[in-house]
Amino acid sequence: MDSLQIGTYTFSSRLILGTGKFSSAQVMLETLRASGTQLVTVALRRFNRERPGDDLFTPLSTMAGITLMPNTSGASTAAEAVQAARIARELSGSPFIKVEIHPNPQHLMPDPIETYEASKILAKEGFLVMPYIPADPVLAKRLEEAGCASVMPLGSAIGSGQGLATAEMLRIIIRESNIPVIVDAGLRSPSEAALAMETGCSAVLVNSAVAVAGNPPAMAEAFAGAVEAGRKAFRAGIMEKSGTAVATSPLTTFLGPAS
Amino acid sequence: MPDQQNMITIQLNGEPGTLPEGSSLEDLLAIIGSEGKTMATLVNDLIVRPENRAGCTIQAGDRIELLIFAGGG
Repeated sequence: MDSLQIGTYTFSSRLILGTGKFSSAQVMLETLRASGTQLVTVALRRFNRERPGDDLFTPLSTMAGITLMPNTSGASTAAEAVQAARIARELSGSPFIKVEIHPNPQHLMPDPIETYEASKILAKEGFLVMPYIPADPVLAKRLEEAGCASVMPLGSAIGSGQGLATAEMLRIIIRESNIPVIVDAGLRSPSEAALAMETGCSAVLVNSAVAVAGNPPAMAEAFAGAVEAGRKAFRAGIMEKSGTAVATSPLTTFLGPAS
Repeated sequence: MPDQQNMITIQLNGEPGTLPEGSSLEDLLAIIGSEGKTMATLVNDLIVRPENRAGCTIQAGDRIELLIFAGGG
């Protein structure tokens, strides 16, 4: 069975879903079910009794077969991310943590230095650290050496729908990596998820593309199919590109005048 | 009776609030109507586990954070 292994966890689905931007908890749950996802991100937020619908722990705990991967969104330093991770683990009981440190709300690009520092500390504390990073092969290797369970380079800016703008760097990261490489952020359509998987990514993480679709459950199903197709193609061995045509039919003439 | 009790001022999720003197963290959760919700509780940046909330007496000036899981990518 071709499954995704992270730490001691085994996932048959290679589609990780975010839970932000859904119109309601009900739509989110329907979407998660339709996607077949087994790993789901959530964010920490201050409790506000005026907004009881903010709480996703209760609805998510009704779903079987889901592992939570809290993120550290809101942290702008390594120290804040480490604190957020410890709080999240208390709440979720899950060892997964998506280290997400983006100090600038204009572009939401991850801070590589703070991300590295936080990841190093959290890996030592036994977390399954999944850092959201710029598509930088050197940083990815350093995070692997620091004990991260995977690296999650961005395809393009969070929520931008710009797809795999970092494709060339992703290829290098995948080639060099001994841990799962998960494309996180920027994917807009299932074809991009399929391409990421064909390139050799171990999984993709999608949120906006599904949550803001006209029909989120249907789009989640489409992404799931694309991820599966891309993975199968990668494993099947994709043909090399050629600069010239290579005939698939015999080129010998048989309708010409008899010689 | 609560109105005969001395009140203390605390910081709750970054906002000032008041609480009867001697209240525990568990009392606070009951007062704001959040019992039963799964949330993380911090007093002055230290995590207080659910089993320790009843024994955690809130002091004047304490900074209390109540955190939940919300949607996020």
